[in-house]
Amino acid sequence: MAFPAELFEHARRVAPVMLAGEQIIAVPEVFSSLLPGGGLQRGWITRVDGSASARALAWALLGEITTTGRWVAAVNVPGISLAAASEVGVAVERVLVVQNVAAEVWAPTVGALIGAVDVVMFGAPQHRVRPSDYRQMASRCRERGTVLMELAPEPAARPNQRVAKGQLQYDLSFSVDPIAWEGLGRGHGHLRSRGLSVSVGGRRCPGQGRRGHFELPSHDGTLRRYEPAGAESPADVEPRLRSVE
Amino acid sequence: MSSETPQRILALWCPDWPVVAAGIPPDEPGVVLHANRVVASSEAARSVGVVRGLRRREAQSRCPELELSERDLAAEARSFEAVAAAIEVFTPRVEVLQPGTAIFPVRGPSRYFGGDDALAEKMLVAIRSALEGRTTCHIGIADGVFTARVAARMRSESGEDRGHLVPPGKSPEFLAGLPITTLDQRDLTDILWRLGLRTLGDFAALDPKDVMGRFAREGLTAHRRASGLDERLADVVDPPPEMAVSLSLEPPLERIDQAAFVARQLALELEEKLARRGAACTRIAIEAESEHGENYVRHWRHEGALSVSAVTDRVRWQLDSWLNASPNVRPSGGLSVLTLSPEDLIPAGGRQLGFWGGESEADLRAGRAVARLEALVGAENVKVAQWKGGREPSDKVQLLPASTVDLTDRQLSVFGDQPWPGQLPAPSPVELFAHTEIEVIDECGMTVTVSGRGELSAPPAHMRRHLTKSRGNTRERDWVNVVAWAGPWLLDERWWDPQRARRRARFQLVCSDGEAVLVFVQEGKWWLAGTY
Repeated sequence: MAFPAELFEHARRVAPVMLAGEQIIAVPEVFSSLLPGGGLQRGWITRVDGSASARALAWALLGEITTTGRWVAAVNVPGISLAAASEVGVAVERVLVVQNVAAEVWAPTVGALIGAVDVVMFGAPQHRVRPSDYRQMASRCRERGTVLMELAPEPAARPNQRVAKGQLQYDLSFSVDPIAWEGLGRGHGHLRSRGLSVSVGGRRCPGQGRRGHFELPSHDGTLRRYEPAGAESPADVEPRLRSVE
Repeated sequence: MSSETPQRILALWCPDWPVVAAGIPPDEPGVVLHANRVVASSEAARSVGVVRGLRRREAQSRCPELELSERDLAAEARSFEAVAAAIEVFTPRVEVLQPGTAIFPVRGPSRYFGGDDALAEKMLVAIRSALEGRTTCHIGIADGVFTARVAARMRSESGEDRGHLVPPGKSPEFLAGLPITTLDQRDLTDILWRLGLRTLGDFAALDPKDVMGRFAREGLTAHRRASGLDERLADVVDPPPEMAVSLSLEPPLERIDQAAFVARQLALELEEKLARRGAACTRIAIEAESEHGENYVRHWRHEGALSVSAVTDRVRWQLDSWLNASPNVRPSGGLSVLTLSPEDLIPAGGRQLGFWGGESEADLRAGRAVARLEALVGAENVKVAQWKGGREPSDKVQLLPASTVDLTDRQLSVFGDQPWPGQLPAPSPVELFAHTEIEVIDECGMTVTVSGRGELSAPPAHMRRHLTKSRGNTRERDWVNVVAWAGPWLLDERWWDPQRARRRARFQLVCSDGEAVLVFVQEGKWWLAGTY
């Protein structure tokens, strides 16, 4: 039997449309200019590079996700410090910490988390991961909408950095460089805040990439852009009043 | 109306069971703590004002010689097993509500033993010998579970320990004069109190239809309790036998740490089976068969629906108490078959996922992932955070096995309200290190030392870290200059406990490579605590 044509027309109009924007996991507003689309798109594979300051950025990116009721898992992240995570706004009750994952169950473990939590953060594996495992992980992520976030090892541990064939193709890769610490003198004070320079590259961020300066951690616990003390660049300060002819 | 009259029930209540299980005699002041709060106190402790809900320090200040004990639910269940076994002599239909409280239907036994009075008398003698003077026990006999439990908690004016008997059919009159808070449902009784309903009788006088309309299922159950009716609503059904889940254990189960894993697996399987029917259960029978054909069964009941973690706990406790029973009642071999049968199904439609907070789909998904991960990497490697508080960054948050925590609707009081004098101000290090020795030298190349009075030999000028490579061998990094530093901040913790004592001087250093580190000196050596 044939349905009237207008029925199909109606069906087409009322069918839910999944826009790319709806597939985005929100990050704190201060980072939105850094990311194409203003957030982490579900299914992306990301990487954060740059020693300890990379972790600070990773946790800061994930803060908003956990406070809106979603879960984050951390697989084989050595020396994980959830106290620091909570200081940048992560609701640590929704962080699942998986430790001591042996090489032979590493891929199944990450696989079990894909689809179960919204972001899987993992320390760079110490063993060789089969390219087929990586491909499987990537396709499962796209299908289930989980974001993978790899924490790159410290730079000294990998003297010759190269992406071997068949390894993960990173949709976004953050590279973090500390600018300066504030608050500590020679024998007095205590650490208060740090300026970080973050640049974003990767497949989804073509061209020169994006760059931003952030204060992380900041002296009052909020997430903000970094403004070096004393040197206020005119671009950052919006004039309150403008003369009109 | 006759179908509305509930079964006649005997409730047995041992007061302060957590205290009893902790081995504190009732005439000595002692408390059981959970999360730094008093959850149960002994009679002697109560007489000096140590009540539930106090903080540990408050409790100790009211009674310095107080004996403290951490809560151990498994031990409570294990020690209650002796009492449950003593009741089993009278009737096979014992149901444990929680360690310390058990009920059974009394019609058959009381006819056999010559009336409720005679049964209560005999029962008390038997239970007292099972308790071996550790505590008293109270008995209440009435129509309906709720009324019987209330009766057991009533102090009878006439005689000690004789129990409180409510004659058949007199439950409504017995309940009518009691305060509304007897219901023990705070949210509900708060509202009822504000509505001007001060006794159970006032509440029972309302039309059930109105109660249903305003308070839904939970309210109706409470109303039926207050009216002395059978609290099982009409939609409670006995499940068909195929709802039971069973597991053959090969090799047979002999140790309790294996039991925990089996318990969770069975509980999940049961939940899945029930969910497919859209049901939940409020009562469960745990059955076990040993290698040599001995059969054990115990019923557990819960006021609401039993969640997966609640079932897991009960199965674990029960297996623990069977496997660790006294030698003459313990199974002679390992347990080879384990069966969970749900009893009293209720429709599970009442479970509502939270819109703001509360239980959410994401929490449930995470909970299911935990079960899978435990099979892959072991239960001790899947963890969630618990706020603990402390002076060092590594002390602030504790990681607990996720299987021991209910993942739904957790709210951690992060940055708890207690101050920790001596902790370093925020920010905390983002990466923590344990047992990582470093070298810190001054301008002249001498190791920087801190005297017992906290005096520094010279300002630190250079630092070197050792780097552990993947194969376990260490490689020394280059020296880096210290561009800024502060300290020493002295810490002298738990000096009274040689095992856990900690005496160290902490420093923050910023190095020329832009990295900031938290380091400390302990017993003349420098250690890395974390990087910022």
